Amino acid sequence: MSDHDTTQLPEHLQRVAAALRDQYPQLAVEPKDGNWLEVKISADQSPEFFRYLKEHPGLAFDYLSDVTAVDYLEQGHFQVVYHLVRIGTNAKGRGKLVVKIDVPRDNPRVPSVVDVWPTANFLEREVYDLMGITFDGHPDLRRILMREDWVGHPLRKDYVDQRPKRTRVTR
Amino acid sequence: MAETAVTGQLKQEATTPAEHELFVNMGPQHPSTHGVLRLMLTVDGERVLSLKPDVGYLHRCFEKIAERRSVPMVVPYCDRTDYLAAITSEWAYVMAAEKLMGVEVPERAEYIRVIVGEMQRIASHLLWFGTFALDLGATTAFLYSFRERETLFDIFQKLTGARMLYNYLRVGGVRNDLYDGFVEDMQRYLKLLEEKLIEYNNLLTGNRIFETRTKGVGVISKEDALAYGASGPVLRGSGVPHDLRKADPYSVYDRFEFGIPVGEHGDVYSRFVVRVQEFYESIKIIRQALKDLPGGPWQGDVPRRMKLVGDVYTRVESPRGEVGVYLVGDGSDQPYRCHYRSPCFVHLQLLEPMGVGHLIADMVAIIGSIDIVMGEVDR
Repeated sequence: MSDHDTTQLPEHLQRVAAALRDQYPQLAVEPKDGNWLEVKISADQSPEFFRYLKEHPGLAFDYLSDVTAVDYLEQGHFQVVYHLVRIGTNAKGRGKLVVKIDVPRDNPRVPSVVDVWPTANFLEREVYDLMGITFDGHPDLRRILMREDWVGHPLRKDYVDQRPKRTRVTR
Repeated sequence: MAETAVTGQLKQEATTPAEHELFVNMGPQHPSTHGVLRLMLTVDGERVLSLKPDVGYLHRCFEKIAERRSVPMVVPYCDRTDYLAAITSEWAYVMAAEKLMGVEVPERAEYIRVIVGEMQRIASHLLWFGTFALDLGATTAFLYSFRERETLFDIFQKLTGARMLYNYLRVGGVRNDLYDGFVEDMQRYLKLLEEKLIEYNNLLTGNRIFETRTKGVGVISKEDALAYGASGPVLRGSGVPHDLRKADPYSVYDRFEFGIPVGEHGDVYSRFVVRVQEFYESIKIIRQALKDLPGGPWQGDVPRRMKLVGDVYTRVESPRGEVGVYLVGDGSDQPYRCHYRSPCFVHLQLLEPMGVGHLIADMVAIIGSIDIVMGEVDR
């Protein structure tokens, strides 16, 4: 679907799409299930784009719901996925945005958004831990769920369990 | 012992504090942490100077397991993330799968889901009420609330066959219909609960000792709560009237009348008041759902081999906050990626702004007030 289709959207989503195109005319804004809008940006646009989303009065995405990543092994890239919501008084929880960033598998780096939303701290650490994507500018990028000395990133599709094989004891 | 990354870090943290400061590990086996949560505290006397949560002791990598199971086989694993609110965890997952497959859920199934979902909220809040009071030293409230929780679990057991981990929601509906006499059982229970809630209120709300321990402790402002991604009763305790059941209605929640309790000061006491009021809102919702309960099938038409295509993010208001599932399918019958957004994991970041400057004993109250479940944090 191209960005022309946004004319079919409810009014509050059209306003979001228009405000996005003000600053980023090249951006393809696609409608998604359940009143979500989806945009794809590149990694070097990242911190400014997110700051614009938060600080522009017509957008005001004040709540970062989730940060996660998907390993598209066959296509040869990771995709970092941000889910943003508006909770502030005038938006009343409406208007939701998915932002996707493709990063190459051989050098997975994206800028951190901790400065914009402090909640990204743990969420980005989790992505770093399980998927091995480095967030530049993160204040405390360490493993969070796995042990500190764990080797590899388990959610990658080509991850191989390196623990010694246990032999099954039968009686 | 050779110095590994772990012991090296411990050593460094233990030796950094200045003369009057002391590094203390609270947990992982501390009884107030409700599981295995380790807090790395720097204290000056009893006062907390800095705080870092350390998690992962219960990590099972649910997300990796889900990639190796067929779509319906993931549901029981969802139970084991937030084991005190299994229904809402299942709900977020089955909703995501239904959206990716375009499955219609029959009306009766949606009503049953709302009823069990709110029963689950009551059960979870009852456990929170008891353990929170117990953390603060009030044993009676714990015994009282567990009594009512057991009665509710009896109904759950009759309906689903299990007391805590139900595996009751199915993609496209629920496993079985309500049993004969469920409506009467439930109405009797709600009446009982309303009577007992007065008893609970007499025990804690307005209790001088309880109020001194909780008022003005662990304050988090509206702005901070939003910035740190708080949700559920923590966000509402800070005065933001945000509830996914109203803000982004899923299932049939838009058909019921209920309020969103909101706290004033963002402290431990406000969060307590919000949760206690949520009991009454859940009772209201269940009563309305029982009254309008439609007939018909409780399971929709689903293909035998469930194939997922595309990606979707669904959010559900669990007793603890916003549970989200990001599900990606590649056309096979296994999820390509299944991410579980856990509210408690996000809430752990709030411990530092809430707890610094307070006493260690207040940390116990603060941890209790965000109602932490480590199974959900670590997944």
